[in-house]
Formats: sequence, structure tokens, C-alpha cells
Amino acid sequence: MSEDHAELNLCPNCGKENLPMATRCVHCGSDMESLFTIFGQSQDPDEQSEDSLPDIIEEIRNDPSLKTPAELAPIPEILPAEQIDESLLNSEELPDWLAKVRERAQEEEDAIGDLASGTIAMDAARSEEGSAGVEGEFNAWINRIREKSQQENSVRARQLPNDSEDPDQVPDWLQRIRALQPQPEEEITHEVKANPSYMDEMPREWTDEALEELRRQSLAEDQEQETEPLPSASTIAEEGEIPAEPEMEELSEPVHKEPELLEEDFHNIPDDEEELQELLPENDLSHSSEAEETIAQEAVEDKPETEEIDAPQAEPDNQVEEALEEPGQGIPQQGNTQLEEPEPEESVSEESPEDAPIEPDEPEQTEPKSSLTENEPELALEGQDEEPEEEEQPTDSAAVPPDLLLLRDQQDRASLLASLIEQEGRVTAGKQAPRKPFGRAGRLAVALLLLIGLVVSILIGPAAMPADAFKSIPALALNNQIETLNENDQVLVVLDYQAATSREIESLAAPLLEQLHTQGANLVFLTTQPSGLFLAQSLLVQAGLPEVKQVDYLPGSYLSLLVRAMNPAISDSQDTLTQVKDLHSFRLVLLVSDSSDNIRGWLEQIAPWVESSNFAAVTTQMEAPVLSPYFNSGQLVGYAAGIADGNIGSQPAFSYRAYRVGLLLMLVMLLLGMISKGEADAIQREEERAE
Amino acid sequence: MKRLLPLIIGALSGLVVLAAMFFVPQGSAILSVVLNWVIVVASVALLVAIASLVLTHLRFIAKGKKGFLLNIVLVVSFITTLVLGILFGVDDPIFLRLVGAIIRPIETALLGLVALVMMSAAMKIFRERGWSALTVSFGVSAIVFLILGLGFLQNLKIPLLNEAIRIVEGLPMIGARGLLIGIGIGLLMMAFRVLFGMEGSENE
Amino acid sequence: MNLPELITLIISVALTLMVFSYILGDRLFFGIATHILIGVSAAFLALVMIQKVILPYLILPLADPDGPGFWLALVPLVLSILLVLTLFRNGIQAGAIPLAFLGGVLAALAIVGVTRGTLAPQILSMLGRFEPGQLMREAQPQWSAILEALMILLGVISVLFVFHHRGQLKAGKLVRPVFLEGVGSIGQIFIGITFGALFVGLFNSALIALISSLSEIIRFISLWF
Repeated sequence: MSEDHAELNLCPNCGKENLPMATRCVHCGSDMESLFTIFGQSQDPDEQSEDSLPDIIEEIRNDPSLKTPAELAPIPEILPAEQIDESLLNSEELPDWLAKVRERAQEEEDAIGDLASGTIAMDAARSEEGSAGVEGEFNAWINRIREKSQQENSVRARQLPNDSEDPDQVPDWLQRIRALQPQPEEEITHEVKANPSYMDEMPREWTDEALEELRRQSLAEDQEQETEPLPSASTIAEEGEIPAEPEMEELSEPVHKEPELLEEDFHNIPDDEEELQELLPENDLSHSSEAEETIAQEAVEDKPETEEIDAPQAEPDNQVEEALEEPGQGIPQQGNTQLEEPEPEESVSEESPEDAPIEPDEPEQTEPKSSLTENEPELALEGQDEEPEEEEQPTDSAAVPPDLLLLRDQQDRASLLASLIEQEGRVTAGKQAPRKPFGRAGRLAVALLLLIGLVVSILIGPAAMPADAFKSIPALALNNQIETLNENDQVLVVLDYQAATSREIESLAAPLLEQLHTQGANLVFLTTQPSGLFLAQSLLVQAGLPEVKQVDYLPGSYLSLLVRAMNPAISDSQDTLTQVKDLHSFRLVLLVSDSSDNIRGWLEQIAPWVESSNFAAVTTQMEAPVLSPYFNSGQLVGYAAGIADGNIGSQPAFSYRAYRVGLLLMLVMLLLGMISKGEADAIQREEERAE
Repeated sequence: MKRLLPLIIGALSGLVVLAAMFFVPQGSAILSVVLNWVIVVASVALLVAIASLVLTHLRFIAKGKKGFLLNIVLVVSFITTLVLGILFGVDDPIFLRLVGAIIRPIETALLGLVALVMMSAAMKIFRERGWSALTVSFGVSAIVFLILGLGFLQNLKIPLLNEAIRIVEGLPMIGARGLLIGIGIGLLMMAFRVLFGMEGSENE
Repeated sequence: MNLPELITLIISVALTLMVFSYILGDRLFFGIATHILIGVSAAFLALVMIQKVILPYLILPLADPDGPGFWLALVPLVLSILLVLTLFRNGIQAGAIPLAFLGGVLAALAIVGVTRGTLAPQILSMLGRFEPGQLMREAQPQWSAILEALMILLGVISVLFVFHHRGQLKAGKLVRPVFLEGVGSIGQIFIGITFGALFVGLFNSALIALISSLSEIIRFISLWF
């Protein structure tokens, strides 16, 4: 309890004790701003950028040589750089060690340490990206929370003297904390023991050797103590499974308690950016208050640091190990020490805004947040950034009261946040696990619908397609090209299709072949697919051509003909294998293929060498869009694709009615899909509006 | 060295072919020989793949793995076809008709199943993918081309409407051309990587 | 209908029904049908390859040591042996050489083919629309042609930008400049139009196949009634 008295400030007017956070004396009402500013709290948030203070805190903390002196002289350490300079110049109590530290910091290349500089650079990069509006909003929130915290400090200060008058009487806040912790007295006792003994042992004047010794001590302690209550970054990196930071461990608490809420937030926030923008100040509030008001005071009395150095190791080990092994149980106890009314929902409301909406999908939105919040998404990757935040855990009894007072105000806002987030989560429940329109039964129903529709259409009877059906431009061009052929003109027909598409392809190609044959063209057939050997028979029958017509298999497809296309004079031993001796003698090369890739191969490899021949194609409707650029560029003189181009519908074997029914059903399904999606979106919007 | 040799062979063979294609009259003979080698090697590779397939299924049968009945079906059909082909010859019309009678209906029915699957997919596509420029344009395009496929609008024989249909039918060409150019550039880069031994060299 | 046709029809209908049993959730008959397809196709392919490629291109030249193709056929023979070695556990590495040979040759062919057959013609065709003769007629600008040429140019460029993934990586997300995002969105529209047409085309082909299969079944049933 003596710690409480030691931390109270004396009023410059009446000389009575006040809380460190009190801006006015509770006894005489005089202004205590000068005392207040000594804690590094800027009166005007605009005077000091919100990210400079955490950076400086981190900067100072990351330097091991500064850690121990910081505990000896806590108040100057947390000052911003400019204020430190001023205070050191003006104060007669300027410690020599600090001057040496500053000198050494200027001399050393990396005075602030890689980690701190990296963090500062990261923060600077983020602050550049931040919008001015969000920053202003953030500052407004800071102002408000400071005002409220000062008011509450005043109220609290009126109550504290009563508590502190009797040293044996335990204050309310401490009782609450003890009720939250299994062995709170041990920790507090430990804290009380540690600091005075530490202070007695440490030299007042710091030499380089002493600083080096202190650094070595600190490093040795870090290595020895593998199980710290708040694990170091290296420990976390080694263990891997443990959350990287106390705050992260606290964040894991609501995950355990209300996992649905967080998951829902995770999915919902990106879709509602406006709401996210509204939430951001709330997020900033919770963290900025910690960063700029509470942390500035509490961090000086860091319990982890104290324990690392001075505390008997046997004492916290059991608790520490429990905390490490069971982050969901052990760590929240520390987190709960910050709360006056440590209810699970409040912890959720406090923590969920910072990890749920911002972390996964909108990292840019964290810009205006304090360094605490900014570091959180990256903790898993940059464990070294965790150290400053780890030390900010207010487990020291002296640090608790202002923190509790702040958190009371935070709780009001955080509870509002929690309700908002909870509502959002409900909305996105459908998005996270979208209801499937239909499963197996639905697919079966759709399939049966199509089958029944087709069968009925076929059974009704043939419905011929109009003979003068609308043909595509490439099909008309192909017809024109065929009509220009004279008798005995050589036409190479390359069969390059599979059995699956044979019905469509043959229906398209057969009328064209028949027309060519009628015009007296000399047809030469090749097949590049082995299946073409048996498919050609069917095609020739449909085209009314003699079935005995020879169809050669062309191994390697166009590669076999490439040399002959390049150099017609060449004669190789394979000339006897195909009827094709000279590609240049063909006026038309008709590619009957169900693969646009193969057609493209012919156009790329053969066509450039055989400019005297025209290339045309008969293909499926699926490949038509890919071939259209080649028709547009003139590489294909035409192509027939689809049911209309080949007059398949006019063939008696094909039910044009069934085809149309199938298209209609597909049209309906597509429209239903779009409508159902639109309806689902509308319902979702309605729910959001209602909530 | 084990990996370097294939890279060297690949790069060398490619450069030889490239040179042969640039010096057309002189390089035609070399190109003809190399391309014949390619055809033979590709065919052998196909045969090796088939042999591997059959051996795998034979192994499954020998081990009595679950579903080995289907493995037996595959091996029996393979051997039967092989024997018949050797007996009758590949060009025999009866043999070809028999093979066609088996392959054609199965492949056609499998493609028919695709239509049924696509019907289900059409319902779900927007729910799964949400609204975006791609999905909206895809949906509108699909609906428009389905309507055009029905042939109702064309049968109206309105000249202005027919002109509009012509324009609409030409729209897919723009995207397809962009895709073709993009694919061509990608293919070109990949081919150069192979030729210069960069493809696969990172595994060294 | 003669007997061979009837047998063909029965086989065809039976296999079709086996495939369609997949709709009802059956796996056995569907599996039998697909395995028959694989077995028959593989055997037929092997037969064709042996008879139409291996024999005339490899075996016959090797059978005649005095022939002109004997020495030339040794190279594919060696490469083929290396490929066959891949069937054995110790010879898997050997297969890399013939495959590298194939890859190298095809890469060289692709360079020439893509350049001459796709890139140059397509780009020239796109730019050719801006020739004065295309855009002007009788000294009057053809606005429809101008508009069409501009639209094609914009469409193609925007489609190419869809696949341009250069940008800053922020928090695991690729953030592209606003300009690229805008152009890419236009490209997405054109790609969507093309994909829509492809989708309908594929459905058309599948629908025709389905109608053909159903027609076969109905024809078979109608034979008995």
C-alpha cells in the first residue's frame, strides 16, 4: 500500500495528495496540469502525434540498457524525446546515467535498436497511408477519453484518501483484483518486494561498464527464464503454439468464450466498410487510451521486467507455466486485472473490436490506431515487436487504479461496440456458411427435370428447324467459299474430333461434305485422331459418300505435314504413308475438329507456310468464340459451328424441339440463380437495416 | 549432372529446330528428321503410359484392393480389344464398328451428363461467386446467347434486330482475342525459358 | 434393322444407361462403363500407335540395316528405350532425356508458330482497323467503324490488363493502382462475355449429346412397342 502513496502527487497549491492522473486537486481545486504533464501526457493531442509516444516508449524499452534505469527513475523515462530533453536541461536532478545513455545513443549507429526502428518505420509507413479524416477522428476520441478519465480520476481521488488512510484496509479495486486472481497477494507482495530491493541495489550513477553489465544480466535472465508469465518473443517463437503477446492471449479469451461472434465478425466486416469506419474510433479508443494514458504510467513499473530480474524464480514458476500452457485460462487472469468489473462479455467487448474487424481484411484501417493495435496483426510474424506490449501489462498494484478508471470508461464504449459487432456477426452467419440452394436431392431434381423435359419433347415428335434459319457470318462465309470451288479442286478434309462430339460435328460436317462432293471437289481425308478411323465411317455415310473412301491416319497431326508445307520439294520416306504429297495443291483445308487448340495449331504451324490454301473449320459451338478472332483476322475463311450453322435442326434424326426445351430450362435455371442470389442479398440487407 | 543433361538436350534440340525453321530450304531435311523422331518418341511415350496404366490395374487386382472388380473390367476390356485388333487389324471395318459401338455411346453419354451438371451449376454459380464485373457480364452474356440460341428473335426477321444480333455475336471475339494474345505471350515466355534452360533449372 | 445394327444398338443403349445411372447415385455401373471405355480406348490407341507409327517409322527402318533410315532410326530407338526404362523403378531418371527432347522441339515450334500464327496476325488485325481506308469512306468518317475499332482495341488491352498482376503487396493482398483496377474491370466484362458464350456453347454441345443419347434409348424402346 505504500506504493500507492508513493505514486500520489502533491498539489502545488495545498500540498495534499492527489492521484497521478488528477488534473485538478481534489482538495483545493487548483490546476495540476503541470503534474499531469510529467507523465508524458500531452494536453493537446494535436501537439503530439498519436503514434510518436508509443514509438518512443518502444524505443526506450527496446534498448536493454535503458530498461533498468527506467524502473529506477520511471517518470523521466516515459517522457517524449523533446520533453526528456527539456526536463533534463531544466532539472537539477538530472541523473548522470541518463546523460550517458543519451550520449551513447547518439554515438551508436542503431541507438534505438533494430526492432524499435523497424517498428517506427512501419508505423511511419502506415501513418503516411492514413487519411487525415481518420486521424482527426482518432484525436477527437483521444480528447474525449482524456476528459472522461480526468473526471473519473477526480472522483476516484476523492475516494482514495479514505482508503489510503488506513493501510490495512484493502481498497475496492484491489479486492476486485484479488477476487479475480487465484493468488493475487503473492504477486502483489512480490511486486512490493521487488522494486525497493531493486532500487537499493542499483547504482545511482551509471557507467558504461555498469550498463553493459546490466545488459548482460538482462540477457542472461531472458535466457534462463524460459517460462515467463508474459513470454518473450524468442520463447514464443520457439514454442510456436503459444500466443505471441499478452494482448493476443487476451484476445484468445473471447475466442474461447464466444467463438461464433468472432468468426462472424471476421466474415462480415469487409462487406460493410461504412460500418467498419464507424467502428474504428471505438477500436482506437480502447487502444489509444491504453497507449497514451495508461501505458505511459504503468509501463514504467513493468511487472515482467521486475520479475525477470529480481523476483525469486521459484515463486511464479507454477503460475507462469500454467499461464503458458493454458493461455485460455491463465493469461486472461492478467487481462482481467485491468477490469473493474471483469465480466466475460466486457472482455469480449473490449477485445473483439480490435481483432475481429480490422485484422484479417482491412489492415489499412488500423492506421490511426496506436502502436499496440497496429502491432497486433503482425505479432505472429514479428514476435520481437511484442516485447514493449508485454511489459505494459498492469499487474503491478500501483499501476492498477488509473487503468481501472480508464477501463470503466472504455467499458461503456466497448459494450456498445460489442453489441454492434454482435449484431454484425449475426448478419454474416449466412455468409459464413452459405445455405446451399440444393444438395444432392436438388441436383437430382434438376437433372430429372431436364431429362423429363427432353424425353417428352422427343416423344412429341420431330420439329424441324426452319430451312432458312439465321446463320452466323462465319458460316455464311464458309458457304460462299465452298461455292467458289470448281470441279476437281483439291480439298483436304482433316478429321480431328472425338466420339463425344461426333453427333454435333458430323451433323455439321456432313452437309458441307455432301455439297463439296456435289460440286465435284476432289476430297482427301486425313484423321489426326485414332478414333477418327471409326468415326470417319459414320461421317462418310451421313455425307452420302462412298464408304470405301480411304481415310489416312496422320500421326503427329500437323507436325507430319510441317516440312511438306515449308518445302514442297522435299521427299522423305514417309511419302507413301499418306495421300498428301503437296499441301500447296489444296485450295481448301477443311478442319473438322472439336478442339480450338488443334485448329489453332494448324493455323499457327501450317497456314503461314501455305498461303495458297484457304483454311476453314467445322467445330462445336463451344469452340466458336475462340475461333472468331482467327476469322476476324482472315486466317480462317469461315467456320461452321452450332446447330443453326449446320442445319442440324432440319435433320430428322435430331429433335429440335428438345434442343429448345433444354435451352429454355437452362435459361430458367440461370435466371433463378440470379434471382435467388439477388433475393438473398436483399434479405441480408434488410436484416442489416433492421438490426 | 543428372538434371543438367536433360536441360542441355532440350535447349539444343530446340535451338536446332529453331535454326532449321529460319533457314528453310536448307534446314528442311533436318527438321523432317527431327520431327519424325518427335512423332516416334511421342508415340512411345503414349505406349509407355498405357503400359503403366495396365500394370497399375494388374497390381491392384493382384493385391485384391477394394474395387478390383472395376480393375478386372478394365484389364479384360483392354486385352479383348488388343487381341481382336491384332486378329482383325486396326483397319478392319468390323473391328472399327465394334470399337465405335462401345466408345461412342459412352463418350456421348458422358458429355450428356455434363449438360445435367451444368444445369445445377447454373443455379449455384451466382451464389458461389457473388456479384462482380465478371460474373454479371458472364450471366448476362449467357442469357443473351441462350435466347439467341432459341432462334425466336432471328425468326422475326427484323433487319435492325438482325444487325444487333450480328454485333452481339461478335462481342465474344474481343475477349477471346485478348485471351489468345495473353496465352500466346505466356506460351512464348515459357518456350524461351525451356530453350534457354531456365525451366526446371531452379531445381538444381 | 439387321442383326449387327441391333447388336450395336443394344450395346449402345446398355452402355448409355450405365452411364446415366450416375444420376441416381449409382457408382458400380457407371464405373464399369467408364472402365470399359478406358480399357477399349487404351487398347485401340496402342494398336494404332504400334501399327501406324512404331512399325513404319521405327521398326521398318531398323529392320533394313542397309536402308537410308537405319542410322537415323537409332536415335528414336535410344530415346524410346530410355522412355521404356521409366516403367522400372531404377529407370525413372532416364525418362527425363526423351521428354526434354520433346519439350525442346515443341518449344521451338511454339515460338515460331505463336509468333507467326497468333500474335502477329491478331495484333495486325486489331491495328489494321485503324487504317484510313477502313475508317473513311468517300472522305467521310465511318463512325461505326471507328467505334468498333476503338472498342476492340480497348477490349483487348483491358483483357490483357486483367492478367497483369503487378502491384504492391499489402497485408497479403495485392493492391494494384487504381488505373489498372479500372482497366482490369473493363477487361473482366469482356472476358465475362466470352465466358458466357463459351458456357452456352459447351451446354449446346452437351445438350446435343444428351438428346442424341436419349434418342437412342427411345429408339431402342420403340423397337419393342
